[in-house]
Amino acid sequence: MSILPVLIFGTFSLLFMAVAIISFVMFYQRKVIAHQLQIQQKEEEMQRELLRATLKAQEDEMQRIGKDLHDDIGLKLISVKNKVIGGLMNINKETDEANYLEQAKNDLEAIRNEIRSISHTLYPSALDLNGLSFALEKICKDLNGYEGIKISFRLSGEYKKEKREIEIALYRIALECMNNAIKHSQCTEINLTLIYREQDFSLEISDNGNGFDASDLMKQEGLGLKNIQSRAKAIGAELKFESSKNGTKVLVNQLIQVQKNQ
Amino acid sequence: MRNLEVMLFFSLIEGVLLLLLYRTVIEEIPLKRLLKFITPAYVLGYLGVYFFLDYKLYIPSYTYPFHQIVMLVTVLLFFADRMKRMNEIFLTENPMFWISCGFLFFYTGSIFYFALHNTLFASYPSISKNGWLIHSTMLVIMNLFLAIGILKIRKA
Repeated sequence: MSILPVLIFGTFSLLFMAVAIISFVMFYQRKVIAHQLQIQQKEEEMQRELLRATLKAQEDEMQRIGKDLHDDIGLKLISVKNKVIGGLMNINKETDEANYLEQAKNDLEAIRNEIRSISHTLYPSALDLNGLSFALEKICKDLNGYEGIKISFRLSGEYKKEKREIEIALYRIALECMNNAIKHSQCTEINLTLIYREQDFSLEISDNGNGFDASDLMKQEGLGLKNIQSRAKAIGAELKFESSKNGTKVLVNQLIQVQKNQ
Repeated sequence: MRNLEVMLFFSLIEGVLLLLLYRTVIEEIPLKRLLKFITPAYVLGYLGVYFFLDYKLYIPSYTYPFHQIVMLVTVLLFFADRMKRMNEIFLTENPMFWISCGFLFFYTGSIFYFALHNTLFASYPSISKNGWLIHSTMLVIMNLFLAIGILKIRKA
């Protein structure tokens, strides 16, 4: 047998084998990475699902308490207040008893208002009835002037009603951010802006307070930031914090789901 | 001293350096241990093959293929190591992947030529001379891959 074909055939066979080995390794890696990515996505989805379920259970419980407070305790307080008013009508208004009853009536009214406010926070009925934009506008109006802080709301674009879980998450995020701003930032102004675009919409909560170290978010305990982050994560929203000495801005960006599903 | 003997001396140094390089790159402990064993075995084997088989031949035909086989095994060990760590980094982003591809092409492409060198020289002297073309082509390919590897190092 001539040596030349052995040389040519052998060399090309080995080169072909080299190409095959490299292709196999590259193909195998692609397969492994794709598989891992799939597992990772599934795990993330499961985590999100779990978070969503936890938040939903929490939300349902809050709603139940809110409704109970409003319907049950609220009505009982009205009934007690009516009895006090009835009592007031039957006694001389100049007596000490009348003064006590008058005081009790005022206290009952204050308690009822407090309970109403708590129940509205726990169960934002305005959100269910009129949607996120209306609920945010209402809460801003209600809180405007609280501790001397000017709170304003602005809607940009045409409001589109979203899934309840998304609207409630954004509503809670807005409340948490406003709460943080009022409690910790020493601000004089809070602005809420809800912007609707074609594909997505965003909620922007900004204040002119002290700000905080946004790069060290997870260490900011007690600011409810983890709560904000988990709510944003549960609905798959993009969350951004910007903070400086001149104030804080929280931006939540969410893809429009309702339109996407249609 | 003949040119080919200089080449064999150079190959021995090249082989030891490559084995040391792969010992630092390969991360799997059993493979690392295997390389630790291969390195001295390679040096002894290389010298043994040369002095017992190739020393009297006009053109050495065993030492260089021995070197090439050891280098090919080392490169394949690197690929085996990477296959166990597929999730860490994209292979194409790893400079050692390109460098190893270069070595793989170079050694697989020229092993037959060097193994048959003596016979070729005796029977087909013209082909033997032209056969260096295979070696040179493989060197060019290897250097291209090494260049890609170096570019990847710069990027990293």
